[in-house]
Amino acid sequence: VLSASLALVAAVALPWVMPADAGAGRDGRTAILLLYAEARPLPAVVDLDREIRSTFQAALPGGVEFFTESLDLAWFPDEGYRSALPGFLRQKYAGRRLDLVISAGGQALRFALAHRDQLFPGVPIVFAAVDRATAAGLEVGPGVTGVWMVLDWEGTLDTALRLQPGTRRVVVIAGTSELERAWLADGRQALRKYEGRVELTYLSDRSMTDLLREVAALPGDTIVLLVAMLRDATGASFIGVEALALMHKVSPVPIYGLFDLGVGRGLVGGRVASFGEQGRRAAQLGLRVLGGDKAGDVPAVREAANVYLFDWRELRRWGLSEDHLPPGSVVQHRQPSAWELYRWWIVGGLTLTAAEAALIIALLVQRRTRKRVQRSLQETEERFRLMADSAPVMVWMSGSNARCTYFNRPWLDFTGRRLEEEVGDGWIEGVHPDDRTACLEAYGKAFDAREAFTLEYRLRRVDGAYRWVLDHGVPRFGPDRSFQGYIGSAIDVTERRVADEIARRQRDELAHALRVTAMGELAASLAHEINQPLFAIMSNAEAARRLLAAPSVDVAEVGEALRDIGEDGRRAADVIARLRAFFAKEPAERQPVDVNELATGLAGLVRREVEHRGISLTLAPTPGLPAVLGDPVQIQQVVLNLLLNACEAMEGDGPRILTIGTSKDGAGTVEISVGDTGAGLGTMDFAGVFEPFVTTKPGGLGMGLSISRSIIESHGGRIWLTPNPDRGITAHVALLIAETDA
Amino acid sequence: VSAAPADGIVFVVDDDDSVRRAVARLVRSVGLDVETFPSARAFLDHSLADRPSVLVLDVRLRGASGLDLQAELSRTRPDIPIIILTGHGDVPMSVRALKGGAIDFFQKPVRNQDLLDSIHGGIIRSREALAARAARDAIHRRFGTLTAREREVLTLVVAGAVNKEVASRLGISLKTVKIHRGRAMQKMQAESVAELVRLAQRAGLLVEAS
Repeated sequence: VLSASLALVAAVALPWVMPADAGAGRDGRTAILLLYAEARPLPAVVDLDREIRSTFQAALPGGVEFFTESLDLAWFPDEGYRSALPGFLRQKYAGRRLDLVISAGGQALRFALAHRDQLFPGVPIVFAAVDRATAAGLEVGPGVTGVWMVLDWEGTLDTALRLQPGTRRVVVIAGTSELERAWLADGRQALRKYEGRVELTYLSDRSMTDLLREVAALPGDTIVLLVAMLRDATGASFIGVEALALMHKVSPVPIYGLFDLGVGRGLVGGRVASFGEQGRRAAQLGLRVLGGDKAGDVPAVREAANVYLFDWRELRRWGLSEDHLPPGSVVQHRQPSAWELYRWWIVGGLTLTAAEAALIIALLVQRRTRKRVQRSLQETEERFRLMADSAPVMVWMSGSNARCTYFNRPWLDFTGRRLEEEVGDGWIEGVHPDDRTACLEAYGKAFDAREAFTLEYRLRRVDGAYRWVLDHGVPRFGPDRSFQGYIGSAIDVTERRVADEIARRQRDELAHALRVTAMGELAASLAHEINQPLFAIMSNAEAARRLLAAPSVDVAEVGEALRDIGEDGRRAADVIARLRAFFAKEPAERQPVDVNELATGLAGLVRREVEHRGISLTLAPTPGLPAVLGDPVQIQQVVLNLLLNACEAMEGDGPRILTIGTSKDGAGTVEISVGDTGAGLGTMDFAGVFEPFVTTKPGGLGMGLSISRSIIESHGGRIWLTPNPDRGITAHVALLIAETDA
Repeated sequence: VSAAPADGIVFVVDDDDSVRRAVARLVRSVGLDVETFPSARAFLDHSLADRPSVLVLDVRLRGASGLDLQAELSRTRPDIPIIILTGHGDVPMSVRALKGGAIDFFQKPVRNQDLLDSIHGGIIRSREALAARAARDAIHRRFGTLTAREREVLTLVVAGAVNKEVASRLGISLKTVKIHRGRAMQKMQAESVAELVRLAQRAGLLVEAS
């Protein structure tokens, strides 16, 4: 009966203790995590906890910070809960520094060892209240020591049989939790040797109601050995001493036990293990470890002395003689105290007072905390708004429901709308109707994945014009790592896009020019194609003239000659038609050209294209180079052609670095170089690739380099390729320096 | 205008059908025989008769080039002159062609008369080369009828040795030298020592003696 009330005290006391544990740690304090297998209100845990704390606090006054975790495994055997526990604790203790972990109970140790690397890597572990039954199969690795607990079945039963020699039956009672099953299995093993002397009955898989009924019906020559009763067959949970109180009320026979907790709460006694003692000794080991001893070097305590402990009142109640107690037995509760007489009143009063005081203090603390948090939140938000409003970009924020909650001043100035209009999904009204679907889809997709995103869409400006904006959003997470929505920034990139468009058009025109130039390169072979039919025509005409002058005219031969003349005339005309584009070519203009300016311009021209292909572009100009003489458009064509070649050469695997450089070689020329890190030319001739129709590219015409050469040579310059020492090739264009008038 | 040689054949190698046909017709119109080939290979595979010939060759052929064919032909038939044609000539190529023994290098469209003149010149040159070769072969044949001793005597005589020297060099009597010498002169159909030396020169036999 007393046990129940103690449990109540423990339960009420809990809120007092918890905030102190969870409070912000101060530097220099020793941080200890107390990991209990079962819930805190269990008297066993209360005893352990009290002894652990007081031992540490006595040795390290004011310098200890305790964190407490009850795994509660006996009462919550659900697998989902168990598998969620490590993740929960990892989250909870992420970033916490721990100096020591004390685990109490076999399950707690098992848990600590299993998830140690994940939860508190490298932190020494000291265990307590671990017995051989629950520790079965457990590997206690390095960095771990502790106190083993012994369930002294024989010691208890021997004593019971000495007190009650007429005993014929022993009823062993245990609950159905994993822990109790393990203990019971251990007991069956230990008690096997009594099988001849007494009849052993194990009562386990029963509801509390059935159990009490069976206990009430036990015959006189029986004793009860209560192991533990945390959970009955129906799954109902009990605090061990609570169950003892119930049994004590109905049992017609004495009840013996294995733990000191029950002594004074209904047990006659036994050779009991003490949780308090376990806690005290574990704390002592912990102090050694904290003092510098390696946990692995501190030997585990094998035998945390069990004691013969008995309740005087129970002995008297059952008429058992103290004379039969083993030597060294401790008999408690000899005098009924005022406490015992008026316990209900005292407990009730104390409980009420304590609960009331706890409530008041908790409320006060809570109020103060909330006020402080509110104030600091306000300040933070104020600061954020100030910053966001003065930023040169448009900033928006959304909540965890994807709806927008905030737009900064620049955004509102841009769209010319009020915050109330933009929040929620209002902003989408400003997005160009053609871009809305894509915009919402991309946002939704990123949102579901909690990923950052970058979008380009058209947004209506206050003047009604749609401007292209580049919007970059990132997910936000709270201090507890919970997802809170997105924050994003947007900038007007319309000008940039227009510039890109112009650049692309320029490049298209250059490419077209390159094609025209290709016709120039073809001139040689085209001339051949025209001269052939012309020559044939002339020969046929001369032959016909001679044939007609002969004494006997071969008319058939003359006719054939004339037919061939007609055919060759048509053939020549076809070739001329193909040449038309070439004839339209405009003459080049020579002027001083700044190669650095040209290289920089080209770099800008190709940068987007290059980056699109995953190539990094390096511009390495030598400053202060003299101008070269040439047609800037043609030189640009050549270098652009080289750049495009270099890009194509890097389409395979491997590094992708494109380098544009300029330099002066001292021989009256300035050089522009284009280097790649592509596959190189393989077995091909470095000079041969400049011939028309020679190409390294599948499907390539093989005209680019030959055209480039014709252009550069017409400038009096030189173009050539060299292999790079590591990878790829470099194309060089040397151009003559322009003569200055000065 | 050169006189048309009565006998002669013109080979035309050009990969352009209509050019081939036109040149053949032109050549036939001046009374010369003509054979055409679309490639250098086709020409080389053809067996050539010992008659005055000229090759009209386009250097820009597909497959083996005209210059390759020229090199090959100058080895096997140096008596056939080569006239090079090109649709698009450049200086280095014409230099190479002429150095390789071409008698002319024309860029199409060449004037017909220039080409015909060149062909006629080539035929004459070819005929002369064939005649020289025939004479040389005749001397070689006569030289082949000499005995070993007659050759020794003849070689020393051509080198300018008098009978006495020949006798002492060969270790034979003066009389025997005279008999060998008389027979050799007779076999070589030479009237005098001077003519004998000329014959030896034409046949390239003097080299052996020196």
